[in-house]
Amino acid sequence: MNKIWNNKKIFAIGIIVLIVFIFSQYRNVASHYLSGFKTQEEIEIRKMKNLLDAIKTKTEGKSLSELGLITGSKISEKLKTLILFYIPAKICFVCVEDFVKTIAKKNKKRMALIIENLPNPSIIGLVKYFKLQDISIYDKDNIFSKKILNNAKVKKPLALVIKKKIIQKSFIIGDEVENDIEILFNELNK
Amino acid sequence: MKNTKKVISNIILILTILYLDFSFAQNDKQFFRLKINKNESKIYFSKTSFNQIQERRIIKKNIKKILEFGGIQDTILFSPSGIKTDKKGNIIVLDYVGKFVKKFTSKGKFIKKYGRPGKGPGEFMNPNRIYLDDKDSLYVYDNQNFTLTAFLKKTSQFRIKPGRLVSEFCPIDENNIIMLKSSYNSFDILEKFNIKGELLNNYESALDKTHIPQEVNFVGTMLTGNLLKLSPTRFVHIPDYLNQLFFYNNNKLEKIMSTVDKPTNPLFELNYQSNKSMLDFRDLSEYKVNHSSFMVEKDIYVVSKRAIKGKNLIIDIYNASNGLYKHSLQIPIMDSFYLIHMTKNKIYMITTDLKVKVFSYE
Repeated sequence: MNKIWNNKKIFAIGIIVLIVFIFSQYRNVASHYLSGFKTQEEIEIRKMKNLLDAIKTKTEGKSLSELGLITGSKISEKLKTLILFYIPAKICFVCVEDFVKTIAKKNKKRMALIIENLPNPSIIGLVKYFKLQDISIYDKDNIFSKKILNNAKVKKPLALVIKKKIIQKSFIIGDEVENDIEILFNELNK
Repeated sequence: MKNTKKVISNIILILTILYLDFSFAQNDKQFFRLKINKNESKIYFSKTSFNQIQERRIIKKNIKKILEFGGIQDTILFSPSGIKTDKKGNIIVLDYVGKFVKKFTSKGKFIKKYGRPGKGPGEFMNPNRIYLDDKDSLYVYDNQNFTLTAFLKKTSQFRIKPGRLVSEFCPIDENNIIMLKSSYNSFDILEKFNIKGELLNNYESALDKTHIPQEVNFVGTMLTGNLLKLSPTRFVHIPDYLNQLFFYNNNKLEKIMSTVDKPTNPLFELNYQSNKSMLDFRDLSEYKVNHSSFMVEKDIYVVSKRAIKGKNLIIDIYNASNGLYKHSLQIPIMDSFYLIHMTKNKIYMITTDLKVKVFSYE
């Protein structure tokens, strides 16, 4: 009786081990094929859209001093109409090179750069290389990120089109950099 | 009937034990198991990949600054992205914004410039790696032109096949170069080329292909790191994100040794783009275990990223012949740096204010 019980016990344990193993393998395979990558991508796009909406609500129709941005700096004192670009530190080199190269061709008196103050040698190097030091501010205390982005992480440059000290338009620069910059300068010249 | 049941149950039990044993044996192989958590989009090491962590034996050193040049306002360098020294003590600095390499004396005096912007011979679009061979000849890899340029007696250049980003390379002798690539969905990440650009050898991958989902692109990024030449037939691959040293000899994986640091877990987070997942190669610094590594005489020096705490730099030293840990150097540093190079008695840094700084240590 005892022997039969032992055999049954061993048999049952074996079966349980096999079921657990097969189930775990099934879960691995199933999760491999039933992943939610599309949903994740959609979430990312939605996040960017929500961020832009939040920036627009926060900035458009307001002045830089109302927002507590670059007040008292040489740039805000001199210029009433300009495009203010914000370059986040965590941006890929090719993206930022393309962006800086494009804006360097434009009228430097009509724009200013705020650069996120995290050590990114490529941004500092590009600003030097394209001689944009005079219109660039390194945001020492990350005020732009705190006040405009609520510390949200962005990987693309942002632009604020300012006319008569009032922010008219907020914009995230996309992959078609030249086209986007052209649109912004047209907006400024309207 | 009883006997049949007994036999069947015993067979099942034996098979189960054999299977489990086989699974664990697989884990104990030198391959790394990586696990994807789909809900959190993170990549983990499996625990079985963790090797014995050793205690550090620290030797404290003092440093003294002996040279400094460059900086945010200076335009002799725009954005230094690589630093090496030759046997005379000259300092060689790569600049990927300026698209050149500049050579300076040990006292910081400019000697020579290699390269200029462009796509022709000796020209660069995005030079991102340099190496000096035993004869102090300069090699430069450009990851936009996809070319490797060797400034030998006569400048030699060859083009890398499209789709292969080279994250590191190492000339192993006058005619052969080992390349560490970071290609889409490729597991064969180490290759040997001759100076004409002909592929000579594919090295065995340390990643276990069966455990990496098909959706993951840029798997090579996991093994980005340094390659150091040990002899004309032998080299070591030191990945930035793993706590392992991979030794290769005679075109084969010779052995894998553990470093003193623990691996990062999770290893990476996935970034979703265009309906595919990829490792976010733009911002991986938080996952780094090793900062950089160099050969100093017959030892391998690994700057630990994990152990940089406060104002102290920790350099772990391993025997190049057997890969065993020897001891660590603790060196006080006052500057925030992003690039470092070391020789027997000097430390060369590119600091975050874009200066080249040289220190002696003893």
